[in-house]
Amino acid sequence: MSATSSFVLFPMGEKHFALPANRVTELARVDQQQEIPHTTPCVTGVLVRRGEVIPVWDIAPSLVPDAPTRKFYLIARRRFGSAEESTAIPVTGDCELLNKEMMAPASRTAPYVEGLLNLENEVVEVINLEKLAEGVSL
Amino acid sequence: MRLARAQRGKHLASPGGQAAILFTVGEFTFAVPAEVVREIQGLQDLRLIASELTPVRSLHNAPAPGIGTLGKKVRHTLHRGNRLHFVIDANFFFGLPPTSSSRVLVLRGQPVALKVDGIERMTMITQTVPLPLAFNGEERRWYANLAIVENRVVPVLNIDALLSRLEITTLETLLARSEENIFAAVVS
Repeated sequence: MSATSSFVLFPMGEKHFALPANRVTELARVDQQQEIPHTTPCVTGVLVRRGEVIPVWDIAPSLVPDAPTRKFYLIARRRFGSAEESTAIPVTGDCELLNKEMMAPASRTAPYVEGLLNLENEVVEVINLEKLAEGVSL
Repeated sequence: MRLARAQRGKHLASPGGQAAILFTVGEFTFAVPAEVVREIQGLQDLRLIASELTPVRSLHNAPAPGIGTLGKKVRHTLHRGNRLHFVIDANFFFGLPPTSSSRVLVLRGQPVALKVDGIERMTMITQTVPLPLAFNGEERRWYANLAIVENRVVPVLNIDALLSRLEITTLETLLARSEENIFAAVVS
């Protein structure tokens, strides 16, 4: 926990969150999201990128319910047991790569918080996607 | 529209892809393998059964279990040849709001048909991918996989999910009982 690691910082409305950089594959502009009928909560559609169908998982309602319109997709790898697949996470602005030491989460933080990054003006939560998904029954 | 023999079954399956029928329900397009569709027709021969099934009660005079949902999913029957087909409302099946149906896909090999808004066209599906694991709801049963047709994602219907063996048996039993009741009422 004391070593410096790489993180992708992303905005969600007024707040910022982070993902470990090794879970993020690219940042994409919002292009045409397609919908298929389904009953899975928080999945809003799919993207087709280079022949791959990528589900769009809107995590804003779990983090910042009043987040404004999302402008980009953060394409991250999500784990399902031993399997892994890409997931497009809509974010509200540009993302940033930073190297930082992650602090252990405080005892009262949400279960999906893997750790904290202490920035100049903000303490940023590092998100554990699997724990976040558990919280919304995904 | 009866599918010509040359258009049916594995004749259309080739290394270049799988023949499929694209159909629409509301704003959505779906695919079904052409080989499982016996025929496509209009709604003129549908017979409403939901009202006949509703009054049927079990031995304990309680509504038969599950018939409420089943009665919404299957509201019509269709006779084709010597066989009765239970017609599933695609809107209800996919949880979509009602729209204007105009076609029925009669399936081959099972007593099931699907009422849809319309037929878009036939196509060759050359690229399919599994449904992403992020989808964990009813759609895992509904779709066999996802086809990419001209950069559009089209769910491929899993026909085995339409009606279970138990549901078919339940419907057949209820329909037979209902006809007996009607016959008894006419005779008395």
